[in-house]
Amino acid sequence: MVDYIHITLKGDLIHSNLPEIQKPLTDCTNKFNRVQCEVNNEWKRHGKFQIGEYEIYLSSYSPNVTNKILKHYLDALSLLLPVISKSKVNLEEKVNKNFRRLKHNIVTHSTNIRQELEKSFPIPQYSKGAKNQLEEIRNTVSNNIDESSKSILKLIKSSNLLRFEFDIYDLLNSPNPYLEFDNHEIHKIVLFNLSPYWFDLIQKNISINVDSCYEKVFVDPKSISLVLSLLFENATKYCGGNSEFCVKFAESGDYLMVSLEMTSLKINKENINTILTEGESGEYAKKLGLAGDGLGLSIANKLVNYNKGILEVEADVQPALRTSHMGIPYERNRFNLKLKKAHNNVYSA
Amino acid sequence: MFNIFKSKSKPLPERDLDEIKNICKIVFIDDRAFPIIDILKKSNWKNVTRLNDVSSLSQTEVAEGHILFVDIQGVGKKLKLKDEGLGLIVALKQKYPNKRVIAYSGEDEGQVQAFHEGINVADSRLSKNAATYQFEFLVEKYAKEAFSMNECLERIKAQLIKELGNSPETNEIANRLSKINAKRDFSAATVSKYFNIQNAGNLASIIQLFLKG
Repeated sequence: MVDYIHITLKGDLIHSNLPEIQKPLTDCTNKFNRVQCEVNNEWKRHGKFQIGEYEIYLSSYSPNVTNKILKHYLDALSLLLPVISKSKVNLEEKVNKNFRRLKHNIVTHSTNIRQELEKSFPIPQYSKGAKNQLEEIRNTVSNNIDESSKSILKLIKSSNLLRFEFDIYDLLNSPNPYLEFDNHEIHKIVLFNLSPYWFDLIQKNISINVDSCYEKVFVDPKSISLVLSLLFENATKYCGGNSEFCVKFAESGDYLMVSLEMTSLKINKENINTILTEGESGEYAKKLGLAGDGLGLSIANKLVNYNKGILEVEADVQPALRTSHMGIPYERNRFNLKLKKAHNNVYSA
Repeated sequence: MFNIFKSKSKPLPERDLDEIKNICKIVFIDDRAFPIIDILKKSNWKNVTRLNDVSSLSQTEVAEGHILFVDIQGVGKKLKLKDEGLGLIVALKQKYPNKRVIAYSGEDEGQVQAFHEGINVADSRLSKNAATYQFEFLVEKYAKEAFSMNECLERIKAQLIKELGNSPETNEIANRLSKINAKRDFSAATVSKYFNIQNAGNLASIIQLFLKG
């Protein structure tokens, strides 16, 4: 019905499907006119209106379209434009916020990687040629085997975190995130994702016990790896030293439950229901200056939902093991990750 | 007259993963080399190669490859295909519907050209920065699918159910497969007779791949 629409906001173009040849707009301010088109000589109705900060131009070549009909279109646009613009601004803010988070975290991890490399494997600026550089790194490693090994573990962790940032960005910013479900050995995925955190946990004198499990679960490995990594990262941050970190497996109806049990910062009772959804750091994490952006668990929860699984938190599961350090309370807490059991036949699934 | 019930049998190959790693051919079609190729080789996958691009869909590496990883950018240029790697994936799946083709990319595998035919016909999608576990999982999955007896029997069963609505029991499928193996004739015509199915093209290619190895 309406053939051409041209909208500007404070002089900036919002939308236009006018052919280049029809610009600039003809003089038709604040009323609809029936005129002969200067391009193809056909009759058209058109009008240009200032509505608040918007300038709206409409034109129609249809002989059935009256001024009244065009006015209805103009009214509808006047009503909807501010709403659409606001929603566009909100969307842009969300995209920018996610992008800033991605950029911030990437810079953090890549800085860790670069500075760890420069600290542990320094190459003097006066090095000449690759042969000298190889020799220097060889000497550094052979003279500092322990420190070099630790550095490599830190580098592995940071490069994994770097990859996870991209994965989180991809999964959370797509309206239809791509998930590839299959039967996977959960024990293998757990160990694979725990590996980069092993060193941090051991440094805090935390003993790690992973039970055996031969069951498979029907999941998307990329998003479930992210969930486990977020949970392990939380564990390395919030677990108390000299404690035990356990990974247990149990069947629970249609699910296989992976339980991560740890002595970690006390979770206040009033936070138990919101800890997975609100995206806020806990009270004691803030007190200790350990709080990050507080999004870890809410992101994990969202990704578990993508996998049709369930993430639950059980606080203070063994009151006898309550403890405190420098006035900060620690309790035995359990994170239960319930994942759908494997499908029997993937070919007919 | 041909009588399948009187045919001789030959035992089916029961390959373990190590044997499968010896025979499965994996090809990366990528203009850039990544360490994943060496990682797979270190995991004892004996036949992993990389092609910068493909000059013919019939070139030996492609024709003999069982699992093809295709970068969606920077390849397909020699064949002057539209949309580079995505065009190559479409061409490969048209010529070799039973080869497993994985679209992999440096961009987000969910967002990028999600509606392009090349993405939709690919058997899997993988980001280049995916964990080694995901690469190894896919390679092992598709290799076992082609060369492991149990997986092959399950695939045949699923294919028969898809085409006929029902299927003989697994033991019976194995029995008929042994007879085809004894004849060493994996043609669609023979498979059609043994499984009483009119269009046996897909089934024949599954059987041929598994029995020829």
